[in-house]
Amino acid sequence: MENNAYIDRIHQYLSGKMGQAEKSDFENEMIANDQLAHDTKIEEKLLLGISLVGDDDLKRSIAGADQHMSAKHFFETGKVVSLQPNKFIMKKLISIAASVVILIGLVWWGFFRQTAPSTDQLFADNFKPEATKSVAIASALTNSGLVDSMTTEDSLLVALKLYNDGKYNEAMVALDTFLVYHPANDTAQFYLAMTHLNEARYARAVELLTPITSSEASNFKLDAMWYLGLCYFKVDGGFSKAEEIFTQLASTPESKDQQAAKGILRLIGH
Amino acid sequence: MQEITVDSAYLAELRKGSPKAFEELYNRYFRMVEDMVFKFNGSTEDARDVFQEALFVFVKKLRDPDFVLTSKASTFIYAIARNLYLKKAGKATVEISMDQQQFSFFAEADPVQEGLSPTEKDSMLNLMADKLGQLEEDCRAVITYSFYQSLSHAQIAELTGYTEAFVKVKKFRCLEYLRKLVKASEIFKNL
Repeated sequence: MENNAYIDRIHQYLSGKMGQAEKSDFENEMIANDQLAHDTKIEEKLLLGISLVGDDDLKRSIAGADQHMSAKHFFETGKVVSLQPNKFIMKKLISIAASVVILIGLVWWGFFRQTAPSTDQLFADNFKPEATKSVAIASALTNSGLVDSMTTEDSLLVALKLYNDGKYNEAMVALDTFLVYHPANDTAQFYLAMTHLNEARYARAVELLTPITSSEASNFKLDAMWYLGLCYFKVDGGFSKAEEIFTQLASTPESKDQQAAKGILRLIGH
Repeated sequence: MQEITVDSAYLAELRKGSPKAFEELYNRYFRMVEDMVFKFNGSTEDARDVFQEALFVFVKKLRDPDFVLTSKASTFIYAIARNLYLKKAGKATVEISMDQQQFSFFAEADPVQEGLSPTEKDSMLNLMADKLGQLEEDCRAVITYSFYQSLSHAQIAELTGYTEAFVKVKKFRCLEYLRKLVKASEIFKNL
């Protein structure tokens, strides 16, 4: 497929830019010419792949803008929602029900003095931002400042330095930007999740950590499982998922968090 | 609310995916969409989700060389967001009250993308992201401008500082290199 005009013609066909007659000719030619049919299939997949990466980049850029606006408290300064009557009544009912549940809970707690810690407490006792690997990785990226323009390593180094300095929102923007160009980089994905976790954005952290936990090739798989388990303690309805993850970790000797996972399971009466 | 004019340089920035341009869209139109979502008893979080999806559709359409924006940007974004939100919220009536032709893409699906399962899409995405990542920055830019943003050779030449003739040569050279990289992959062969 050396000929540019040949490829150009295939692209014209695939992008629907041919007229009806030209299109019919091309399709007839494909029936008679296996090589053309094969090359067209290859180009179709190639262009589809480029389009998927482009879509993904665009979504990330927009999500990055959304996060940036969030970091500027843009979404908190909006007008107060004016509740419609039915929603107001529902809210009232929910608050009354919640009060009753709390009251029953207090009475129950007073009588039985249950000692199992809350999921909030479990999270607070066990969550420490990952700092060992991030420092080691940042130290290994040594070429910062040696060139005029930012290289891939420089960009990641800047992001990790911000993370290691505890500037999580700034690190988040830097990692988001880095991921626009390197969407498959699991180091950036993991630390982006960490920035969200540090900023108590648990749902987003869950979203970012989940794919890493299923990636056999990732060096962050086991770390991601640990933090995902903790995240689920902070997400509504996430308790059973947390329990499931800690059960897995407890039987994984390769995990540095194996003993801690066992401890959590004991505390929740597993 | 300040309106974006159709022929403004601002739209060019949006086509390029400039973060500042996206933020400007938030400043100008997010509250409008949020109000619409509140009207249907949704939350700010719902509005954020639907606004992101609407911006994605908006920018994709702007990048389509055959697309001409005939309504105001605010009208367009509002209509997309409203229809997306109603669909998402499971409201019975999905309303398209604007110029039907302008919004006909709601009924369209990409036939090629539709033919892939989510797992195949993920595999393809990861493969291509990896291989595109192996290209030189300028090569990746030319491919993205040309095949994703659908820019003409002249527009790419303006952005990159190359001549139009060189852009054309470079585009095919880079594509050829990318093709060699992906063709060697088992994932690509099996899709």
